[in-house]
This record gives sequence, C-alpha cells and structure tokens, in this order.
Amino acid sequence: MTAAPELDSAGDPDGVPRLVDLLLEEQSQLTAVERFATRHEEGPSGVGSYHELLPASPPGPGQQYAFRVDLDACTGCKACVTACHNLNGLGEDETWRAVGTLVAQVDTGPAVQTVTTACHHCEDPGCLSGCPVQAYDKDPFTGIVRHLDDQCIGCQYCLLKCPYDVPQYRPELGIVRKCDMCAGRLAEGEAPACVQGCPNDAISISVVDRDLPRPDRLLAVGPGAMPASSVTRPTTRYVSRRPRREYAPANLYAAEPRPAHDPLAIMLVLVQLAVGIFAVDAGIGWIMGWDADAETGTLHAALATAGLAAAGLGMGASTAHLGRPRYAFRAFLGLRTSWMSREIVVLGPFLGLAAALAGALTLPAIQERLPDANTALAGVLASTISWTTPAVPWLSGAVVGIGALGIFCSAMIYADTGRPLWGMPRTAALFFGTALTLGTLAGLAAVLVCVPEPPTTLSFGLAVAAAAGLIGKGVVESAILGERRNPTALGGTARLLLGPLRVRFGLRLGAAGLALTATGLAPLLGGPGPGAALAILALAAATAGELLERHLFFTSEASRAMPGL
Amino acid sequence: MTSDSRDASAPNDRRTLRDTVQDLVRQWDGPLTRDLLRAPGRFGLGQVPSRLEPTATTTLVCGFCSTGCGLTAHLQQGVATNLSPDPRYPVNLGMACPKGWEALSPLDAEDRALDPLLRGANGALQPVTWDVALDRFCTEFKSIQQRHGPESVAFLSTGQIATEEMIYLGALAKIGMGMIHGDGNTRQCMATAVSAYKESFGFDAPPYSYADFEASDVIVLVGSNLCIAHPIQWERICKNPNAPEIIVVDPRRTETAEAATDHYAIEPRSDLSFFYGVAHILIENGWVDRSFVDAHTEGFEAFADHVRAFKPEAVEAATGIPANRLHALARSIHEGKAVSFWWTMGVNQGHEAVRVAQSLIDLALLTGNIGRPGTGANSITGQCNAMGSRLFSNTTNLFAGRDFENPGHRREVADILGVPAGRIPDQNSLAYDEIIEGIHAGRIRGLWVVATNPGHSWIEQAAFREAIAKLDFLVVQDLYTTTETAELADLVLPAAGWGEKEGTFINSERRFGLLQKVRRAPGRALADFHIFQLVAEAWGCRDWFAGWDTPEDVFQVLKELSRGRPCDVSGISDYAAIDAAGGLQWPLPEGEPVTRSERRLFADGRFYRENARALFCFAPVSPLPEAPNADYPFALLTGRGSSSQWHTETRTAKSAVLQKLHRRGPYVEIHATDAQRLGIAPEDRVQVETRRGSLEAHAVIGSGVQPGQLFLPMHDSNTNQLTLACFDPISHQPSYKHCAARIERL
Repeated sequence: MTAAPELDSAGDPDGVPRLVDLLLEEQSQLTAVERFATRHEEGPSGVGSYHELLPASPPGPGQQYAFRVDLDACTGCKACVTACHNLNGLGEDETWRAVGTLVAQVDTGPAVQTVTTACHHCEDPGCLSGCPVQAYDKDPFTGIVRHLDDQCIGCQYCLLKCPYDVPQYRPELGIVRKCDMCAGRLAEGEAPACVQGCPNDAISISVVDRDLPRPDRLLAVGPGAMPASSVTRPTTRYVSRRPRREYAPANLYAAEPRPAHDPLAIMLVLVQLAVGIFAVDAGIGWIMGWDADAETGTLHAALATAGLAAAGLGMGASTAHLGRPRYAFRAFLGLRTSWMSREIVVLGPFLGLAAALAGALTLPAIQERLPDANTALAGVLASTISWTTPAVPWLSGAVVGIGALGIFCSAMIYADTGRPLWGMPRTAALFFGTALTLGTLAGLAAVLVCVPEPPTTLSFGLAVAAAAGLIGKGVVESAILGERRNPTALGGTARLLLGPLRVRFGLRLGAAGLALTATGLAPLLGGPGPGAALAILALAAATAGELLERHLFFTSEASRAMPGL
Repeated sequence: MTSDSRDASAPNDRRTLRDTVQDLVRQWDGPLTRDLLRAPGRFGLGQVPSRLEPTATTTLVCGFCSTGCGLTAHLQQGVATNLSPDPRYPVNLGMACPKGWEALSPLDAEDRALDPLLRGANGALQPVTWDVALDRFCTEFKSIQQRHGPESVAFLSTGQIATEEMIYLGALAKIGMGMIHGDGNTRQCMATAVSAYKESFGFDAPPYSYADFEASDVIVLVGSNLCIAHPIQWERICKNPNAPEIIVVDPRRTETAEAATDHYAIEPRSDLSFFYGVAHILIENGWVDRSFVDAHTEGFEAFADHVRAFKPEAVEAATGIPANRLHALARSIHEGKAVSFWWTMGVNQGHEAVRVAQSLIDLALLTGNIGRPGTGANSITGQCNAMGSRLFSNTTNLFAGRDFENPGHRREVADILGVPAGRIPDQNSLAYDEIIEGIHAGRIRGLWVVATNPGHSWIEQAAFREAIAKLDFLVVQDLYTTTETAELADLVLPAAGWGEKEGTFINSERRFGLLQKVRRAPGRALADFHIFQLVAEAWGCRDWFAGWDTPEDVFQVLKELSRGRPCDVSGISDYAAIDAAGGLQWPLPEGEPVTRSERRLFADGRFYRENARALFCFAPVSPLPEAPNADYPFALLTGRGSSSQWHTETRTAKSAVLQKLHRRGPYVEIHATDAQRLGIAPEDRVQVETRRGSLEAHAVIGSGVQPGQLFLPMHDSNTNQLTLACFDPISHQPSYKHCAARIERL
C-alpha cells in the first residue's frame, strides 16, 4: 500500500522531468522528521495528567487494585476504548474496553447513561477457575487477573465462564487475550491506558478490600444492567450521584446469535452417541449374553466398533476447537477447579477402554471368519480371546460408567458457567437425552441389520426408548419458547430461536420429527431390509437433529454480559 | 510490562532441563506474551507497545472535526505507526476522541484510489495515467465552457482539505479557469453561523477561545450534543473549576442533556420563540446590561419591541416549556457572572437558522456576555477546516472575507496575487443549493467535486441524483473509489489524505494548526495541492500562480491576503512558528508578540461593523416548512449517531475499531409511548416514510427522543432519501433537522 509509487511514465524525451513525475516523487518523500520532529526527550509520561486518578499507595494485605468508574463523568465519547487499543498495540479489531448504553423511562422522561466496561479483575475469576491449563494468574499483591498468552491452548472456555464476556479469542493467534489493567504501567506509577485516555477523568484506579460482605458493587448501574456480582465477585466500582434502578441495557432486546463452537457441538454429540451405544450394547449383553451365538457376536462387534468410531471422531473433532492443540497436554493442570480439565481427564481413559472393549468384542467375530483355524495367528487369537472374554462384562461396565461420568463432566462445564440456559437439570437432560436417543437408535439399527429375526421385545423396546428420547428432548427444547416475552436471558434465547435462528430451529425439530416417524415404522417392518433401512434413516436424521440442537445450544445462549449499544 | 519478565531475563544457555520442562507445562513468557510487550516510549510518551516503539515523534492537527486536537504521530523511519494525543497541545491537553486515536486506520483501507479512474465506453471506471486524466479533465471542461459559457462549469469543495489547498483551488477555478460558481460543503454545516456573525458582528468571527469553557459559570448549549459530537470540548467544560450551571436546549435527551444541570426539551424547531421568550423576560425584568448595550450595540430598542410579543404563556404554547422554567433560565442567565452561549448543528441546520443563531447573539449582547473570559455567542464548528473554507476558499466570498462585488476588494486581491483585477469574477458565486438548481436547469453542465460526498450527504437525495444525472462531466477528487459520489463520476482523481501531506487547518477557536506528512500516499495518489498544480499546468494557467510551489509558499500568500483584515495573521512567520506554539489563533498581526495564550475577540467592545457596534438582528417566527399532520404525524430529526462516526463515514467505516463503537445496521429511535400505541416492540423491523421516500430500520425504543419524534442517524446513506430540501433563506443552509414522517411495523 505504501510502496514507493511508480513514475507515471518514462519521462520527457528531452530528459527534462515532467511536473507529474516531480510531484509523484515529492509525494513519496516523508518530511515530518527533519522539519518538525519533536525535539524534547523529556516531558510528562503518557497523555493527560492522571496522578489524582491513581491510588496514593499500593494495595496492602487483603486489598487489591480495582477500576473505579464515575458514571456521572462517563458521557459516551469512547476514547477509553481507542486509547487502550493504541497504547497497548492490540489487533486491528481488538478492544479490551467497551462502552454500552443504559436506558430508562423515568418520571421526567427518557434517561440515558453510557457506561465504560472492561475486565473486572474479579475476586473469584470465572476465567481462572475454568481454565484447564492455568493460563490465568491472579496476582497475590495487586489482584490483577492476568492472562498468560503463551500458556493458553485456545479452548475458549473462559469466554463462556466469564459472565461479562471479557476474554476475547484471537483466531489469528489461536489464543485468548484480555485486559491486564496495564499492570506494567501501574508498576511504574503510570496510569493504565484507559485512565490516561478519558477526557473526563471518569476512570480511575482504586484500592479495594477483598472478601468483605458488601452490597453489589455494580449496583450503581442498576440491577438489570449487568450480571450480578455474586458469581465471580467483580471488583470494579461504579459510582453515581443519581443511580437509577430502572436502567436496562439499550441492547436488551437485540437478538444476535452467539458463536457456534461447532467442533464442540460435534464432539458432544458424537461422544454422547458413543456412550449411548456402549450402554445399549451393555444392555444387550446383559439380556442376550455376550457370545450366545454368531449373530449376537456380530451385533456386539458392530456396536462396539461404531461406538469406538464415534468416540474417536468426536474427540478428534474437539481438537479442532483448540487454537493451539499441540499444548493440549497441559489440560490436567486445571483439575482442581476446572470441569473442562475433568472432562478431558475422564474422556481420555474412556477412549482407551472403549478401544479395548471394541477389540475384545471384535476378536471372536474375526476368529469366526478366519478361513483356516489351524494357523499360528488363529492360536494367538484363541488364547487372547480366552482371557479377554471374561473381562468383557467388566470392561463394558467400566466404559459405560466412565462414559457417563464424562457426560456428567461435559454438562458441568456448561452448568458451571452460571448461564441460565445451561442450568444443570436442563443441560444434563439434553446431554444424557442425546446418549439415550442416539444410543437406542444405533442399537435398533444394529439389531435390525445384524439379527434376521430380532426379538420383538428388543426392537420395540429400543424403538420406544428412542421415541421417548426424541419426544422428551423436543419438549425440553421447545419449552424455552414460552419465555419469549421476558426481558431475561431465556427470553433472549426464545427470541433468537424465533428470530435469526428460526430456520435452524425448524430444521432441528423437522429432523427429530422425521427420526420419530422412521423410529415408529422400523420395528413394524422388522429385520434386515426395509426395517433396517428405516432404522438407519432414523439414526441419521436424529444425529443431524442432535447436531443442530447442539449448534443452537451454543448460538442461542443469550445471557446478558455488559451493556451494549 | 517490565514487571513480569521472570523467564525472559534468563539467558538461554543457563536454562536447565527443569526450566524447560517447567516452561513447557506452565509458560509465563514467549512470543505471544512478547507480542503485547510494552516499553518506555521516550518523547514523553509513557509506555508504548514495543513493536511500535517510535524513533521520533511529531505533532499534527487532527483531520476530523474542528476541535483541532494535536495528535502525536509515533514515527518509525519517518512513517507513522501509531498515534496518541499530545499532552502539550493547548486544545486537547492530551486527550482525543476515538476518531482522533484511530485517524491512521482509514489511510490503510483497501478501497483507496491508487490511480486516476476514467469511465470507459463500457460504463465502468478504468485506471488511466495522470496524463490521460488531466487531458480529459481539460478537454471536457473547456468544451463545456466553450459551448455554454465559463460559468457552466462549477466546483463543490470542502472543509476537509488544507487552507493552502483551498486557496489554490479557489484561485485556480476562478482566476485560472474562469469559473464563477463554487461552494463548499461548509454550506451544509456552518453557513448559518457565517451569515449570523457577518450581519451581527460585521465579520465571520467566532469570538471565543476554548478557555472560555473553563471560565464560564453558566454554559448554555443549544442544539449541541457536545459529549459525542465534540468530546474534547466537553472535556474543557469538565475542567471548569466553577462547577458551572450547564443548560442544554435540545428536543432530545442526548448524552449532553443527561450530563447537564438542566435540560430544556423544547418542541422541535420552536427555538426561535424560545430564545425570544428568554429575551422578553430579561428585558421585562430589567436584566439588561445597559452600559454595554448603549456603548457597543445598535438596534436594541427595536429588538425589545420585537420580543414584547413573546410572553411566557405564548412561548409555553409554542415550545412546551412551562413559563416558570423559562423564567428560571432567564434568571440563571441574569445571575451568571460569565455566561457563554454555544450552538451547533441543531441551530445551523434549520429553516430560520440564522435568526435562531442571532437570537443567541442577541442574548449575549443584551446581557453584556461577550468579550470577557467565559462569555460569548459561540458557534461550534463542524469540519476540521470549515473555518479555512469560510475565509479562504474563494467560493461565495472573496479571499479573507472580502466581497466579489466590491471593486476595491478585487483590486486588493489582484495586487497581492499579481494577477489583473479583471480576472477576478465581479459577481458572487451561487450557493450550493443554487448550484444544484443550476444543474437541474441545465445552466451548469460540468462539476468538480473535491473531498466531499454529496451523493450521501446532500439533502433530499432523489432530487440531487436527478440533477447529477444531467451533468455532461462529473469529476470527483477523493481518497476512496467507493464513495457514493465517486461511483457516479466520469473521472476520479486519486487524492492523498490527511497525514500524507502538509498544510494548515483553522479550528473552531480560530487556531491555525499544522498538518504533516507522516505517511506515504498509496499508488499514484497525490496531495490535493499537487493535483491543483497539475490541473493548472494542464489548463495552461500555471503562470498565474508562479511561486506557488509548496503549501508553505501559499501560506505566505495567505498571510498577505489576511493583512489588515480581521483575520490578519501576518504575524505568523511560518509553519515552524505554528508548530512551536502549538497552533496560533487569528488575529495575529505583524508585530504582535507570538504567545501561546488563548485569546478571544471583542475585549474592547469594538465589532467589525462600520460603526464598530454589534447589531441586534431578529425576525418574525416563520411556520414549519412541513408540520406533522394526520398522515405524517411525527417530527423526523436527524443527527450524529455516535462519537466514532464521521459524516458519510467514508473514513470512519474503514476502522474496525470505530465500527465496533456504534450500533450497526439502520435504526430509528422512537419513544416508548408511541411505540406501544403502534404495536412496535424493541428491535422490530419498521418502515419510516416521508413524502420523499422511505427506509427500513430496526426500532430502538426508550432512548432520548420525546413522544411525537423519530430520530435517524445522518450516517446512514438512506437518511437523506427522506429529508426535505428546505433551506434557510439567508444562509442557504439545508434544514436537515426537521420534516414530517410516519412509521409502521413491517
């Protein structure tokens, strides 16, 4: 863009430079340095004069630094956002501060309040407790919550854990970044960029006491303006001479879908499918035995292989969600506080045991198909089977148990964010419902494919369970629509599902409807052939529906963070 | 970020295996951390991003609004890589609004014009060389002039280019090319203030200095949302140590109204009655500074007669403001020791705007609130160099506030420029609206548009575009190929932007500030100054402007043009003097010492009229051009959307950060009771319609508008499909702020 310009043409034949060439040459010369460059090396530090905006002394024991915002002085110029951007060298569209608008109807007419927001450097930061790799550090002396950029694996769980939507993912870097209260500036007695940049001195740094029972610090902006501070105990203090309880964010009814996190949606659905398959397989093993006949053996082998494939694919997909997957090994670090760590730590062994189980169940099927039973390979196989077969029921139980624990951890990941849509009963119902629905449908399909004359109780039992799963999930997911008129997070979800996401939500219900119809017909037709084909159709439609459901699980989450525009 | 460099300081060769493993598990430092490292910036900058650490700095004046902030460019090898506001600059004292902070980003946009573009036979704009472009420029315009007379080619200029460039363009077009008609987009923002000041004071002279914001004890802001339109001027109010009473007169509950001590939400366009009502109470109570009025003004008795009819009860009926509140306002003005009146577009863009502006001037005169610290009837300017355009663009007045129709003035200018007096037109230019009318009527057939975007900004777009379609040749000179107007052009000339050239801007408080070249222009783009030089040469009239080789050469011409005029700056030696002083306010006649102190006009009570007295100007209140009725029951107001948007957004839309700072997508603001009555819920899609056109938008309920009003941001290109082409009869400024509209849910 700023390369030296080409000359307009080769110049005059007489060798006299033409005006246009001279001017293009002149245009490319930069003259400010020799003509006007600032000569002073000395001068004030940074912009503005800010010493009254910094605390007289650093925090003592039981104290920390905090932002303090004088709402009466914040008039919406938004200079703080750009000061932070320039003085911290952030990415082109990266901003660590934001300015939102609060509106209210009061006796005297409309009321407007702009409010500058940034990281609240919480006493109990959700980002920190949720991080699976300890990429957050709360400084014991300053209380500043710092993100360790090189430690981050880009899982983005902190984006969900922070009620205020503070951390931001930078796809070009594969990591999250956030405000560090300009810790390095404060250490040198210089004000943070936003404090320097506010023309009205609305932002300052104060020292606050930690762990004191106190009214909500964010209350000055009105109880409806920001998520309550009970969750993470934010330290920012908003003060105003005329706080108004009526304030609501100007974007209260704005319906903007959230990021989809599709690799996570795929991981969740496939892992739950896998756990469901292993559970159904365990049930079949319990009812029909593990090696009653060749057909049962094939059925077990098919189910276990499918389960393993689903689990493997799902966990593979999850790595696509990480910005820096090669550092995923750090995930054990957060075990003490992070459900994300716990999920990863549980699902690893789940995959290993699932592979062992699938192997154990496939070996007899391979043995049966060996053309010659007298080779050395057959001998090895036979001796292996002789000690794996007794372990199968135990392995199966372990896989199902650990898988269920994995699903529980997955659900807790979302429940732990405190976002109303992701509350525990509902999330658990959805996640285990997926396992039930898809597991039974996969079981039904496998039974109808592998067993020529399946026991009616088995195929109908599976179909009924699948139908119950499909209907139950549909009811849970649709119930949210009743909230559509409420100015709440769930109301926001309903408005998203009926607004920008309505096509996807319609497809999701349509897929479930198709799956339900096919599920009802499949056992009636029975056995391999049309029945099996219908069961496979039901499984495919239901899986598509579940993937859409999980996509909407992320995109329709609408809890309010900080006030928007 | 020097405080936490635990591992960075450990030399690599002494790292143990344990360090490496520890790092691999929990990594405190590394390339990603270092990407955001900050280092002491030197040059008084405090800490700066290490990546962008400057090797030198320089201060240039901002190129958005007329506040005229000083911005420090952080230079690496002479190229600006970052910006921060200059703490030493007397205007902004180390602060800037988001546009200033982000001023470099728009220069890097993808759609910068890199070469001249000529509309080819296939109807598309094609890159051509400067030779081809200039040849075509001259051939087309000369041919039009031969067929239809020299006045059939006109130009529309701007408040966005350097004063020296305005002088070059004004001289080139009128003296060199023989044009008669040329106007600036300052017609859209400041013409009202110009007309008001000229008639009342005898010269277009905003009398104040920003220091007055800090010295008032009563500040009256009229039609001015200072907090977001001019945040740095609001900063100066915040620095006022007197805890001033801040009174906002605005139909909407704006950010500024919210921050004020008192807000008068008058009915839209009832301002003239309102201020005459205030004058009535002041005079009725004898709250008049008789000694000032007697010594320094003219026309007081007639004015007193005029406002006698504006009794509080009548004013209450017109404005919706109860008589007792009107009385309270008059009392505040009376009791204030230093009362300042400030107005912006809410006043300037009205159908009787000049009289409204003058009603504020009248109030200041009446109460003797002028010429002293903290006083004044003060128009806050819009564009960065609207003040340069007003005095030196040679459009509707001759250089330095002279008159084309005055033979003496023409001779003065001819002598200074060294051209025959006969080359200077002896008639005034048509105003902007009359130029558009002239195009409609076929009298004007060639148009040269410089650094403005009327294809978005001109009022009532349908009529404007109909006119533009009639032109034989349209030249647009701009930074970008994608402005609404450039897309209509037959020829686009690629211009260098702010930060890529030298020159001066004059800010709201009459301060000359310096532009500097801290970026290279892309492609073959050239400074407007260079383009004018090329056109002069191609046209064959460059000899008239011999010695005008650099902007600073023309600055010396400017000084001569100003000598002896109220705006005399013959005492500013050169650019270095402006740079050293942090900008210099006019007047600064030769011999007066150069100081950095802020100055205001009229301390001696002597105005620029022949008798040195200021004139009370007033007129009857005229009816609304388009009053709401049963079919169109709402008053449609327009205005600035946010501090991060500038006019038609040709530049601010190019900054990813600025785009995050305002609500995206078209929206219309409506009051909750109106919305409820019409069944409109928040965020519903609605259609807003006037007699001229309609647009679709999302409904925003519960912001600052009152019942019966709708508000549309002016930055949306559809807004001017709806506005009514109605103009102040004196200033010819468009009345953007009011027309009748209806709204329905889609």
